[in-house]
Amino acid sequence: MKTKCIGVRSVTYAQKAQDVLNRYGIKSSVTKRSGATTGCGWCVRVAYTQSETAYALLKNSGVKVTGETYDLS
Amino acid sequence: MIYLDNAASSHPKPASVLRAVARQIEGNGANPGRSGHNLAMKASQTVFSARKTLAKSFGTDPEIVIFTANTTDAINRALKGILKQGDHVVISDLEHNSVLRPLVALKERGIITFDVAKTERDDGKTLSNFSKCIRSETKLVFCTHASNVTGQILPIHDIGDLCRKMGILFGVDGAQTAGTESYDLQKDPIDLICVPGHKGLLGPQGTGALILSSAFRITPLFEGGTGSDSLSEHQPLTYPEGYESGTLNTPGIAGMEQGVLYTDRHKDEIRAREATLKAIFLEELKKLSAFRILGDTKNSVATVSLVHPRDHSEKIAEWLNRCGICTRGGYHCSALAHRALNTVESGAVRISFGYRNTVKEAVECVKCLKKYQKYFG
Repeated sequence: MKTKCIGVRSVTYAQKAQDVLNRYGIKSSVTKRSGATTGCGWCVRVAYTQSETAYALLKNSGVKVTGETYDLS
Repeated sequence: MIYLDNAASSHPKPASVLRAVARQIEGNGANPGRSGHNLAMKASQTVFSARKTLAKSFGTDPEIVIFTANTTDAINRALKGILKQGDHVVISDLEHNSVLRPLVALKERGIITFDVAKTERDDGKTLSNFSKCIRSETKLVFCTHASNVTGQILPIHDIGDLCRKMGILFGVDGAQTAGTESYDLQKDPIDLICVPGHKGLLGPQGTGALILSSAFRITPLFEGGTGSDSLSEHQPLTYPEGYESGTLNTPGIAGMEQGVLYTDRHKDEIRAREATLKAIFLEELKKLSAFRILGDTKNSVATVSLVHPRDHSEKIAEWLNRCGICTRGGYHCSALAHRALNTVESGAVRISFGYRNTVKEAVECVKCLKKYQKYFG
């Protein structure tokens, strides 16, 4: 399944993001972010088809999304 | 042994705390927030779960629960992270050295100035004394919620309201109250609280937290590995990782979470039990003429300190130890409090009750003191 990795500021924010998405029934997983320009980073991975909704939910919940989002399959 | 030194560290711990620590050490030694493998992610979940539990208990958000090694660590991070050149601080005359010493060090480096507000049995007078110490350059008021010597509870909500009105940050040392007093940082006029995991919260030693009411900016006390932005030479100012450089005490944090869950479930019961023990102990103790009880015992946590008119407190604590009773003599790392109480010569014997103590144990302690009075006067 094609997924999208939404970058956040830390592992704590990734877990917080996961909690937010869980509340709205969006399945996600916390993983390390690949391709980050500043080094180690974290993201919350969601199904590609739900990524736009997830992005909007995180924004509304005060979870800052950092930099790019990364497409992984 | 009868353990009456719970103000120093609580003992014993709930079985759930022991199990959580053991489970983490035995089952998962991975480093949280570093690697991405399953065990590391599980460790990260353990830490995040504890953050959420503390956040819920103290009425704040999980990302502004900063894990520390103890209260002193948390206080240092707060004071040295907030205070800048020219700032002024107000503290109470019952502060522990964990507050006094960092402030003295900052003062001696020419960075800050501070004043000490006298505490009184009358909360209104205490509040007035704090108010008189505040100046235009006062950045922070920081005070203990309860004295670790006398147990006296300070009117932190009134002091916090005063600070809010004057636009001053208000920090609380919850070393003697976390676990028995309730906090809601979204409602209480408190900007930050420093708590130990190992006292009233019944967690393991080597744990504590600096808990903020909002993500206001402080300067990290340490720089180092955070598991994020690793290619940057600069410390990321992201809560909480930017303020927790280095590997966390994951087994301790797992245990601390269980302690918080336990105390949240049993808070009223614990408080009532400890209050009863204190009342019975005081009633019996007042029958002994050789000892003087320090401070306000009505508005206090379950800690009682006593002095003998002639003998040093360590002699009495040693006597109690011979009876199989663990208490603490000396000065309790509280130079300010002992100066305020005029007990610098003798120190004080501190008896502090915990959730597992019994009436029989409280009475045994008085019986041992009665023997002391009989032999030594």
